[in-house]
Amino acid sequence: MGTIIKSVGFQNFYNYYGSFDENTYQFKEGINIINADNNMGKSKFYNGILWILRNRVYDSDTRKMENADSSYSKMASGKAINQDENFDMGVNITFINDEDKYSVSKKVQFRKNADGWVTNELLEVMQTVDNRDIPVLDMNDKEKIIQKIIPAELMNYALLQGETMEQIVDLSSRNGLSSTIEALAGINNLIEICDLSKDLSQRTKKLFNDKEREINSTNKKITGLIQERETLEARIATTETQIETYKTELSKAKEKKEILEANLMKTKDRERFRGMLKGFENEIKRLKEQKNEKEKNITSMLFSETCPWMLMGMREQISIFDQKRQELTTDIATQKAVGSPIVLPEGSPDVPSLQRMLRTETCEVCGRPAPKDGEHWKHIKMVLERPTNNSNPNRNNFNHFYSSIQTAVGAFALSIPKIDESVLNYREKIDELDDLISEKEDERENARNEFLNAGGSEIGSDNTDKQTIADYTLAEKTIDKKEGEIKKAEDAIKAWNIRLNQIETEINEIGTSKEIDKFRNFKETMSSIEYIFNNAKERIFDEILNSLEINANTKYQELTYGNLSAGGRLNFNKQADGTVQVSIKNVNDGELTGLGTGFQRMKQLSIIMAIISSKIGNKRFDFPFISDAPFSEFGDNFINNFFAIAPKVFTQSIILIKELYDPKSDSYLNDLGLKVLKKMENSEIPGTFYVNVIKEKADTTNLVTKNKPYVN
Amino acid sequence: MKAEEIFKEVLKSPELQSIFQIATEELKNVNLHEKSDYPVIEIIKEIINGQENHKNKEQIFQIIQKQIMQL
Repeated sequence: MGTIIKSVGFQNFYNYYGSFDENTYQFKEGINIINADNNMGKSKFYNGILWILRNRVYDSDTRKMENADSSYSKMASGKAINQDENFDMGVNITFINDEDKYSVSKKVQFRKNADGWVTNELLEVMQTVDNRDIPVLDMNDKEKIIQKIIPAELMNYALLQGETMEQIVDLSSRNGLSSTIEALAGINNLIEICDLSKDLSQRTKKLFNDKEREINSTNKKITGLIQERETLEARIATTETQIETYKTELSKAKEKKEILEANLMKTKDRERFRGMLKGFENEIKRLKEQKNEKEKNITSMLFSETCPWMLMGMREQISIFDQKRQELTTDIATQKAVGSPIVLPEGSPDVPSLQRMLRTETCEVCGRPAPKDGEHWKHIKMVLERPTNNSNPNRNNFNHFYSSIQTAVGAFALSIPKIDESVLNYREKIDELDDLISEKEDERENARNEFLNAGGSEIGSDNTDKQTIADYTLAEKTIDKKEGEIKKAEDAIKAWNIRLNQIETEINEIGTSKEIDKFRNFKETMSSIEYIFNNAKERIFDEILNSLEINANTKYQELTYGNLSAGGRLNFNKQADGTVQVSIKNVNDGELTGLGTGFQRMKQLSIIMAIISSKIGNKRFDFPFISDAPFSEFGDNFINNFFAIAPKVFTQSIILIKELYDPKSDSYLNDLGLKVLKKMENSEIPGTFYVNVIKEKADTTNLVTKNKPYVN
Repeated sequence: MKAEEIFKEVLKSPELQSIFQIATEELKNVNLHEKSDYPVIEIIKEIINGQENHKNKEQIFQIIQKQIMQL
């Protein structure tokens, strides 16, 4: 089983204006690259595939999948709508499936009338038989042929678009990976057989009970036991259903725990570093307040009564002052100071002398004339009229004055030498606080860096992390609870089964018959057959699971090749409820956590690759892989790895990509694009290479895209 | 899986030997289109074919019951 798309053509579809002939891409086995910048038709191309396969398109305005029939006016080329009155819009895919060639076209006829546009949808499917195109008319047959392009079960994996990759591999529900494995193995009919054999087994049980009751209708003891057996069997059936529910809930909780676990270490780290950050912030705040307080106290220390810092440096001055005072005292004592012409004894000159000097108009102190009312005469008069001080008879003796100062200052004389030390101590304390603040700020910075390294954000993700931890705790509790409930229910079933065996023995002891034995044998045979079918189904499922695990790991290693850190090993784990979970294990078989988004994406892509390219038994499930995903977010290493291994993995892939585009280059290719092109030209990479171009600049609705085949 | 493939897978079940005492050698000679001497094989075939041919459950049950009761 396998499909190769031979061509995809467009007619007046979005920016693919014009006929199918003008807008057809021919494809081969290998990688088929369509390199286009934004708005140059990548998503429109992808929508063409979606329209054919799913009757849906992705609306970039609403960012949602929409039904195609409600989007025809958007899907039609703006230029066609503006220029033409009647035109057809359509997409055509030609493909080969198991050596049969098919052509599928979806078209909408646009006809303009007075009220506007009228549309008419057409689905044309042709099968080429002996070089003749035979139209397929039956609607169901048409749908079956469309399914041959990519079967519905694999569509989720074969079509990769935009940001949806993480949702593609749904590992948490019965519709997820396990149903895909069932589809890959083709065991859907075996599953139906299992259901059928279960139903048949239940019928035989009922038949046996009815027959036994009928045959023993007169024996009250036996009918009582049969009644008890039926009650127990009903209980077991109900409890088994309940166990299935518990197992589903358990599986969901485990899946949630696993998802959360991948982030939990970092979440816990973030919580720890967030706590440390808060601690450091508080500590720094407290230390800064202490420092502020100390600095404020400097003012009071300047005027301290015991040790005023203001007097810092006055130690010399006190000595000088003391020395001067002593010299003065000595001078006064030896009358040396009296020789000064300006220093007169107290009360000198006396009043009669002054009166005479005024009268004679002569200064007897200096001997100069002092004419009446002149400056000198007035000075003599002022001295005559000066107030007398009887309280201090010795006014020129400053000894007392200076002594009192000396006494007052003397108290400080002892503390002034301590000022330097006091200032130094104070300064040291402030410096100590500064050092502590600086130390705590460094520690806070380290904690912040650790916090950011652990995926923290400056814009607090406090609540999210708390929620993650709470969710993880809840998931753990749910797992414990569900495991407990399952064990309890299984124990109950065990006990009921023991009782059922006892009942069986008791009935046999009372009496049985050949006829009853026949029905018993029938019941037991059907029960065994039910068991055999189930085991066969599980065995096949496990084989596919193992095969996928090996395949996916090979792809994973190849895709992540060249990365500096090892990406671990993918572990496919079947759950109690039949779902499959994929985790990443380290070399010691422990959970590998802390892997970046790139590795997580590679995990998803590896699973996709393994599924799409599965070879099971003598069958090959081989369908085109069509991608319109942003490759840039994976990095150059991935792009290189992808182009190296994709041709080995997918028989055919169609890759819509802009990461090889350079609008400034004549070839529209950047360095990586040129390298890939060269490899394709040299047949190192099989496939085709197209570049979409725009001939005339226009708004998005009137844009016309044309393809340039570089390798086809 | 086609009916033939399912049948082959079912024949690999160890229970056919442990419960129904069918020897491995005997199982090698069994096929979907020829009648087997083992009633359990016939029932298995009936279920597989019944599912393949979209027979209803009651119809399949009646056929199997008839087979068993005739033994």
